[in-house]
Amino acid sequence: MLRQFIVLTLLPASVLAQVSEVRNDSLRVKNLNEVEIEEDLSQVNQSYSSINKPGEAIRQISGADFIRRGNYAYEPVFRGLTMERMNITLDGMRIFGACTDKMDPVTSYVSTNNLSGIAAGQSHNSSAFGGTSPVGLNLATKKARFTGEPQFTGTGLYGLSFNGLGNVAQGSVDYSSSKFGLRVSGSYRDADPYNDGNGNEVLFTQFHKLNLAANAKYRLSSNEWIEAQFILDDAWDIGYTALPMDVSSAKGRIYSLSYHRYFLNSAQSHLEVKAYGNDIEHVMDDTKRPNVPMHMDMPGGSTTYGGYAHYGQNLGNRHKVKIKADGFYNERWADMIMYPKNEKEMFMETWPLSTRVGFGGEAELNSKWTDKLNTTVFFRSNYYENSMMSDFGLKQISIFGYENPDREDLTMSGGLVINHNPSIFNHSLSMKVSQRVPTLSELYGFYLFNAQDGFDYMGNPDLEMENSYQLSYEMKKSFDDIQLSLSPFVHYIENYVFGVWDSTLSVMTIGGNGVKFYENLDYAYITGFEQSAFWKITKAVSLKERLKYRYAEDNNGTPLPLIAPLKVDLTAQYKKEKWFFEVNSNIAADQNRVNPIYGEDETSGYVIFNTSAQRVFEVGKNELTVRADLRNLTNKQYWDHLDWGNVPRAGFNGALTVGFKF
Amino acid sequence: MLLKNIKVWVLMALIIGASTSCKDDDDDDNTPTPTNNPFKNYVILGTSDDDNDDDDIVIYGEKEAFVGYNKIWIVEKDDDGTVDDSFLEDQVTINPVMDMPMHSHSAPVEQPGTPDQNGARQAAVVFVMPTTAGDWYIDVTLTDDNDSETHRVKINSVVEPEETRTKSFYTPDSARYFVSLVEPSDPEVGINDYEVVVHERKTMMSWPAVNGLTMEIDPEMPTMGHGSPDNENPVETTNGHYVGKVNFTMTGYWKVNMVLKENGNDIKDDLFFDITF
Repeated sequence: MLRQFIVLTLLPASVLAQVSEVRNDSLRVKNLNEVEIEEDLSQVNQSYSSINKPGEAIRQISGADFIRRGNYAYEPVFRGLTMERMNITLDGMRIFGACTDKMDPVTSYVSTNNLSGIAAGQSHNSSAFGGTSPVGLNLATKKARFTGEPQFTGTGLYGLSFNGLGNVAQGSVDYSSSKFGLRVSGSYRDADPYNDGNGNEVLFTQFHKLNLAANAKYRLSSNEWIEAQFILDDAWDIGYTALPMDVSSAKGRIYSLSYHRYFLNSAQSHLEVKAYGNDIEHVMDDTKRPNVPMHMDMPGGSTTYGGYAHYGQNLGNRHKVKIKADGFYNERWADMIMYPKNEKEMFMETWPLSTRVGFGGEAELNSKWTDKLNTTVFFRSNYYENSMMSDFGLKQISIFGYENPDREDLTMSGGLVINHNPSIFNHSLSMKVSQRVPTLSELYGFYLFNAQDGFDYMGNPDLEMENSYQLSYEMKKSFDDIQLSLSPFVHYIENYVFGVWDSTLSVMTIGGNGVKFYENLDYAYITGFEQSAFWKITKAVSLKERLKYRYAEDNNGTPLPLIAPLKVDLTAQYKKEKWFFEVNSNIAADQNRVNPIYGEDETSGYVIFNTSAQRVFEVGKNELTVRADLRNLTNKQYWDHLDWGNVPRAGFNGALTVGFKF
Repeated sequence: MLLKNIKVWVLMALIIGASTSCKDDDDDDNTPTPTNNPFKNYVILGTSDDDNDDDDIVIYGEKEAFVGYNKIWIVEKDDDGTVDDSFLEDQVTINPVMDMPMHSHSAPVEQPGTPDQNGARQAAVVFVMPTTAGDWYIDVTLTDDNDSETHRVKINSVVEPEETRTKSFYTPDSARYFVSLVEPSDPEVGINDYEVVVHERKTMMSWPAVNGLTMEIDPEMPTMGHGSPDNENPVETTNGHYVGKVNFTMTGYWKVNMVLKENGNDIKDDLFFDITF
């Protein structure tokens, strides 16, 4: 069922090869409301490569790109939409980063070895995790399991990468029985600054990260269980080479308790209730930077409590209904403290302590009209309340004439997905309308410096909500050994929130270019497509091709910033028994459609070659895996259009990884 | 609406409270006896020291006297420490005097007004120099229908504040103007009143207020090189006072640049006050 569902939706060819590897985890199969596109990260390519950086797992998702500010915690972009327009959740939990510069997306507080999948959806169900943003992205962690016979298993991994000497050490143990399951995992990673293709060290690209996670399940009866989860993530000494500051410490504490029940009835009802909380502490400073005019600290914090209830059941043979109710409370703050020599320190609240309360409800009806035609309709409404709690913050913004920045918003979103699978090909059409409440920075941010365009950004509590209209289509055609897919989309956003220069204001940041206020543009649109092809030449040898293109502009015809150029990935794989080889090429075209007001310049295209080899050895009943990766074989000097500050990427790099399973 | 209701509730609570506690108070007269010193939040700047008089003139300030515009409160107290009844009726004038070995001079002054609820009369003095070369005195003259008497109050100390609150310059016409910062006295992030008072030193003993000027202000953080938006230039109110608004976007060291104009011509274009908080 799941398999069919996946194949019918937006699946890139690269994943087709892995569908057969999706583990037969009965819980996940039943828990369909969790996933729209499931991309299994337990594939060889991911779990045994130590060369990928934290947060890079999303690379696997077609349509995803990254904005890079350093060598850590890249900001995900989905079909040209940046983090503001994404609702990223972890196991359905809302987590709000504590960094005013978007250096701590939710993806940075998890570890690859603890991820089981990432669900991304633009067309359908993207609001399923408690928001009405145009894009939803849910990270699913690995869970404890129940097994008939008690089992004890584990994994361990050590890897070393050589350009920007980096260590990866990961391990996990799983205990499972029919009544109780426990999974504990840990991961430590670090890296020194790397060298670019010209052999120059790129300063401030180092990082250190420790992640510990525990998940426990206890079966209350044959059809119900409770589950507890805790994640600790500590990162420190993280360089952000494209920014004027680094991160001295980023800490996340994430915990939840949930109750699951399958009703023993013909309707196959399922209920999940979860309560959760998380704390984020994030400290930026510039103590290690040479030649700063004055030392500066920017600490921030975010605390969230929330809960949700999901219920699903079948209505007869044809229909399946899902109902969700969720709510959260978030409070966040960030300060800036500057320490001039022989003068009193300067202080301001870049995010004055503010709260956001949200409640939402959603209903979804999935109908199978014939074997070849099914539809999904859904509707969601959210109520949000934003309040600035800090008196200091209120005084700050009183300067700009905002007396009461508190606001309430009611958002609506809804959509329709039609899947049609005639025998010659599969295709689907989805339409979605959604509304987005501006982010904390967009509403209440106070002189937030953007290193890309060199402007200080001011929040605007009077912003209108964004209304977005999405239309996407996907077509797939399968021959015996060949699969082709094409997915065009268009995304039209009314009241597009964008920074507009106010030339009457003097810049706060030393060396800055000016001050921008967030304003509503009339509209902006993003369109493009993804295309893929997969050819299984022999049982062992396969070729994959992925291509994506985006075109975006605002109502004045100015290109939107941070839009990736045409990109192509080509991969040839050999996989047989214990052996795995791969040669891969990442190709990007020039990007000449740039937004100079946003500090962008044109970016040259590049061609990068990578290769990997892996061998699995059986040691008794255990598995030992040895893997070697080589990246950027030609030692090309390059950067991507979405890399801030034209900071070169790593030149030639190699990594060795040894892993075992018991 | 809500506020109105609160008022009603408070009123009712007071009525109930009063009706239940009335019995105990029947014996007392209705004048409330202050349970604490009404001047406890003020600092004594000086006290008259007349040996032949039991009454003392006490001068209070918001803080220790400093070089600049000082709001002061003058009160005459009986020997039991309560406000002298006649003081409430008298006419009161003051004259600040700097007493130096070679010569003495006065300072800009704003004469006392009517007594406030504590029986004190508010006035203001711009001390133009600290008590290093000599001592500051304020001569307080009390006049009733019959006679007048002058008490000399020695100001304990006038200190130079960390940041200058009074600046002087010569106009192109060679008049000597003193510009004193009145507000912000307690600066904070956000919108602050910005008030200065301007006096001319006609003679050592005559310091009239200067009216009819126009001003521009431009705050900046010199360390950062930025300013702040939406400031309001001070405009004349009365007695040489000019009131506007200054906006501070963060704490730290601010410099408020000023341009002063008289009859449309710049008379000073590089005046500034440092304000650190």
